[in-house]
Amino acid sequence: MTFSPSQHQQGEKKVGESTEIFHGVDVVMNAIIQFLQQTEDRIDACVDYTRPSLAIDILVLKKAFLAAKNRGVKLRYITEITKDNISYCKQLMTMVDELRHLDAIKGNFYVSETGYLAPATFHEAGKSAAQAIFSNVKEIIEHQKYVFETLWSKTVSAEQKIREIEEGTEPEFFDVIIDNEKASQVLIDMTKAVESEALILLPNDKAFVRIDRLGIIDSLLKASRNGATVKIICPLTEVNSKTREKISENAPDIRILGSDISPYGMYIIDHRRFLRAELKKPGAENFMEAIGLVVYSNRKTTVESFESVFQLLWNERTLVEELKKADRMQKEFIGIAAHELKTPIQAILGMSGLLKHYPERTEEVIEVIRRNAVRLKRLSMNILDVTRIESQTLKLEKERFNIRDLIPNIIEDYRERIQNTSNSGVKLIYDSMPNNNSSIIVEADKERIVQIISNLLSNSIQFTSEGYISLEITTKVEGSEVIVTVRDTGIGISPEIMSKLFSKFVTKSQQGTGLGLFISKNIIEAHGGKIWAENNTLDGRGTSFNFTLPLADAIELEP
Amino acid sequence: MNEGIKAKRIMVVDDEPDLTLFYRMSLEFHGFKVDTFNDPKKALLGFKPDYYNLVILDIKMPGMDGFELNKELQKIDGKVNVCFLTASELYYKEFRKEEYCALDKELFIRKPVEDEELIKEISKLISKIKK
Repeated sequence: MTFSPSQHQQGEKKVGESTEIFHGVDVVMNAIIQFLQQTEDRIDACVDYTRPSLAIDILVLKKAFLAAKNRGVKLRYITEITKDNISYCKQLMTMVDELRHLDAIKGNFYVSETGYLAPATFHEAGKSAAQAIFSNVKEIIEHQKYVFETLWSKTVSAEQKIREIEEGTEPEFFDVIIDNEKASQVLIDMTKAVESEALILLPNDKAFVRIDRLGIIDSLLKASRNGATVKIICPLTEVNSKTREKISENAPDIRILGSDISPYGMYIIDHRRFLRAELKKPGAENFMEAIGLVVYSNRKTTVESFESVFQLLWNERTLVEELKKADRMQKEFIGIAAHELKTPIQAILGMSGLLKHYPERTEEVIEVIRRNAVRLKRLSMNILDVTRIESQTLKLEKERFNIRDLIPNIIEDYRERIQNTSNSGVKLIYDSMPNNNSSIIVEADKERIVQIISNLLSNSIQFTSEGYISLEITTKVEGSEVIVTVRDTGIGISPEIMSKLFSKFVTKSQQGTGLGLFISKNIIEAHGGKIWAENNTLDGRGTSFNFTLPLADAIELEP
Repeated sequence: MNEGIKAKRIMVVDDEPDLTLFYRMSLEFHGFKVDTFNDPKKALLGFKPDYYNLVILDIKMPGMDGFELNKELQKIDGKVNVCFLTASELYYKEFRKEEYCALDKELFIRKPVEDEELIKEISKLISKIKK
């Protein structure tokens, strides 16, 4: 069966609807101009890369576009933006509502609410079309509108395409540089020009010193001070410590990570330039002697690949550094904890072995054993707490309670303890503030808060031989937090201890574990509070420890 | 116990009073004469040449560590024998690396140590003493 337009027209044609073919350059041009002139609502245009220049250079056509725009016709324009038509496209952008780019357009058509025009010809670049199809058949218009929307969804914005073209105006190159003098000059120029980012992988420790001799480090210092990101990966040894010192002193924002030796150096500058230098003589003093084959390129895909390789390496090295640090800290803790645990164990083990030799001193020996067993218990609990804090598994059993309710038991317990020490003359004072005995409700872990107050009181008792220890509970005027203070008239805290007071294993105490304040600090901070210590200045002796806890509800203070 | 050991005089320095008490009781029971110190600086002041046959030193002490104290003691009496006692693995390794390993004159015991073991080790060291 053959397709017959007349048959088709007989069956479907509605009054006034037709599909026509125009012939001749002038006829087609007129059809386009008329199309632009007669449309009142909207025109969608999809045209090849040759059309923007025609729309600008053919004056009547340009006028028709401008007139349509002035009438308020909404114009959407898809074309292929290229290096050659870029300036036309820029002009056209001011003449249409929206211009977008699509790769490799071959056909042309305009579609409005009332018509479809396709200057469909075999044409040579820059020449007007000699044939065109016009239709005002509703179904064809609907169909072409659909085609346009499909194409529109695949476009990129003209701004983006223009930027891509303009940034890539430098022709791509991929050079293999054999002349080492030229290579070092390229590297010098490249690093001098750093604007936003320099990613550098150095093959061995000496490479750091070699590029410093070329003045590259100075360029990087300058770039960093001007806000560029500079990242260096390099084996770090004594050999380059001076160069690194120079960097940390002059441009502390430059980040350096250690690595293993690699067979080449890599320089990636501003996402645009890439240089890779093979390392031929690792021990050489200067760059030119050290390097072998050099590859230098601005090829986008090459730069991007090496950038991602660098980034992967950077992330890995960062992780390694963190792991190393965590491992070092853990080992240190295990070492000290083991040492601390062995002291009471030594006392218990040793003294229990002596019981049989000293039947007349049994009581004394058992007292030493008991004392050290208590110390061991306290120490093991504290070590467990520290482990929980450091592994972030410390759980708080929070409940609402009046912090004042905790105090009587603690006070009673500690008055008894003071009686049993050689400093039994020390007074333990609790100012219960009879004038303001309102409840102070906190939402906290009751046992932990008792632990912290007890810890502070134990510390005070150990270092106070006369005078008093006082426990105060106050609320801030704004009523947002409660402050608990333990003040004593003891020996005070020396400056060298003060600075590391809340660190692990810092103690001058014979009975203490050196962990109490570290644990207290972490527990208080986990509650959203603060803890701090100060030597008393008012009466010139002793220390005050303070901690805060947020109040469960903002309390109303009595006037 | 033989008479030779009985006559020996030992200085013990450890910052933990419960531990110096243990060393004293253990060593005295086995016939040694013992002076104990909890403060290394006081120990240095109490040290006399040709007086002690052996010095037992804790390593990790506040103010002055056992290695430092030993250096000072050696200046006063270069013949004195030393036994280091410590619970610290780190110090132990450090010790092994350095020149303190003159093992015929010096001994190293790791805490915790039991009464019998302590006496055995000390006696071994003392019996090597020439004078």
